[in-house]
Amino acid sequence: MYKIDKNSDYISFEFSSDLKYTDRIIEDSIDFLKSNDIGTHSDFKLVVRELVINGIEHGNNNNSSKTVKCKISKVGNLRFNIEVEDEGDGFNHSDLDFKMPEDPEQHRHRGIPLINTMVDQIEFNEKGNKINVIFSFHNETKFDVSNDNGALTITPSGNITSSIADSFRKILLESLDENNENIIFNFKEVEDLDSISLSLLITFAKMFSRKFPDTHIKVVNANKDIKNLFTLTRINKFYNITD
Amino acid sequence: MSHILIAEDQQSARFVLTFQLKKVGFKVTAVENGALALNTIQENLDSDNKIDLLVTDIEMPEMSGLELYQQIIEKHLKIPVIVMTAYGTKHLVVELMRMGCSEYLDKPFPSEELIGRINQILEEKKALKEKKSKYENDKNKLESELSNYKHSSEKLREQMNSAIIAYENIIKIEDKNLNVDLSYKIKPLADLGGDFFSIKNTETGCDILLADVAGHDMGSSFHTILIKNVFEESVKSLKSGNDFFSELNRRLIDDSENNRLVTAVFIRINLEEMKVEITSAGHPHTICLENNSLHPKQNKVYGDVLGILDDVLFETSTINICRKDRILFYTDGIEDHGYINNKTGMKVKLKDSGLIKLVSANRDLELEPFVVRTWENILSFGKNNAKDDMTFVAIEIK
Repeated sequence: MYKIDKNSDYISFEFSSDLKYTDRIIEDSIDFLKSNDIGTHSDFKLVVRELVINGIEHGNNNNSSKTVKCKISKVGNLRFNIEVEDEGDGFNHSDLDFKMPEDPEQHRHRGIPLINTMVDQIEFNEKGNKINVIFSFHNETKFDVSNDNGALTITPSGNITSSIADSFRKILLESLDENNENIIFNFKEVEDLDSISLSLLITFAKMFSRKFPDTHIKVVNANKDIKNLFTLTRINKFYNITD
Repeated sequence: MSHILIAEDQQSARFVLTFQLKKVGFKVTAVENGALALNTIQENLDSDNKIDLLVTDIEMPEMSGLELYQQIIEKHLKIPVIVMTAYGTKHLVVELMRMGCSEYLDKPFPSEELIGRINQILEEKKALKEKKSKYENDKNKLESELSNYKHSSEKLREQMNSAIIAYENIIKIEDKNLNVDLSYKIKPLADLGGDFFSIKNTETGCDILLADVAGHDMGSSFHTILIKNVFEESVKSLKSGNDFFSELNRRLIDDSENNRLVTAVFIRINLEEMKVEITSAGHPHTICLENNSLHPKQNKVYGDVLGILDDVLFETSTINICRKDRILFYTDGIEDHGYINNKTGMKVKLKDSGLIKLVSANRDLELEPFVVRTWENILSFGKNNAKDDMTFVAIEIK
């Protein structure tokens, strides 16, 4: 049995506990995402697959007379709730350890730690036969570099984290090659800087101050958290933060 | 040149077929019954003379076309067969079809039809063979790649395991007979982390270090080994926090190729003078929970981060302590721990202010349950979805 119901905000499936349906669910979900202007995404596929397989194998013990329900619904811009419910007895999730297992081939705790690294949030019902996860699609941060009135302005399109560290490093080195004394970071779209990106900013400041010992790099439109971070780590001695 | 075998009991028909096929360039062998045909096929099986296709009559002495076809199937000879049928053999054709034979020519037929059919079958056979060999090639290539991956993944696994053991040993605290009471929680994001915590007795009290190396991978774990070594040397020589951090900064820059940012806090507890010195290298502020005060206090101490800059400066702040006072310190994984607001899609972080509230609410608990409860509160605030290593430490003056 394979039933599907959808409108522009959600797609839901109800199917007998048989692994053969997994690929079809993934395909149909991808179509649903496409109708929401989201391209295929390997993390999303992996999360849905793990959850559906959990429901079939662990929840319903592959008993094909039992069904699994899965509903993917839009909860915000680029954010989706994935709900999977089986007819099994549930499991004790209160002491679930979200730490990634040592051996990636080992499937401890129903693959939940792996899912946890890719989603915003995981919630179970009390019995443990229904799981809700929130999945966000993130647009990879791009760097806009423009030269206005002699100042080189670098504007990231979002958060700067370790996943884009390489492209950030490249942008910084290129700006240094420009030999421009007037550099401005516009952090209007940046909510978060992680420690790897902070490392890069400090290294950049160090290299910059060798070239231009008397000049500060400017930071504009930084939020309160970032300002605090710059103060705490004393990076503000290289960066002049203004509004 | 493709080699065609003809099995036909009528001499004239055999001659005509042989002549026609030879004329268009085939190599032809012709025999007069099924038994001879089977022999010819089998004898030349692995030779240059191999039969590529069989054209056979149905009704022949010794062995009929039907029996011949049956033998070819049973012996897995894998040779394409065209059966020539004639009026009165229809019942045999049905039998052949049941066995899977699909190529027939109704006698009489023009030679072009036979030749066209032969060419078509041989081409299909060739295409199939090429496809198969390409598939075999791809398969072999894939298998060898897979086994390479497996091999290097096992090697990596071994290296990881040794790194994990090293890291586990590094963050293990010998907390017996310490001069202060201690309770703490360390939660690396995976098995390897970049948080490092150590506490050592000194003649007058304790030296404590909490450090956070950027990242949470093998690289950051190896940095923690260096930090541990420098810290232990420093405890022995009773270096000041400022000197210790300057030394650590130099070693981090000298000993590692990649510049990894490290933040750290160094705490020296002097029980004779009942004073605590806190030195910070860009680390989140420590919290003082005085026994006689209702409100937790942040010790705002600033300093440069470690591991990148050549010239560094660190502030030290000295505070007075009493019995039962607690000092709390943690890594930024705790402040940044949080959840995504479902409506806005924005992350709601615990922050230092949130931690202070939790600490305040649990302050009446004994040290151990205080840490356990606060830790639970921290984790559940972020709906258990940690994205960084987290360490939370509390010490209490005896």
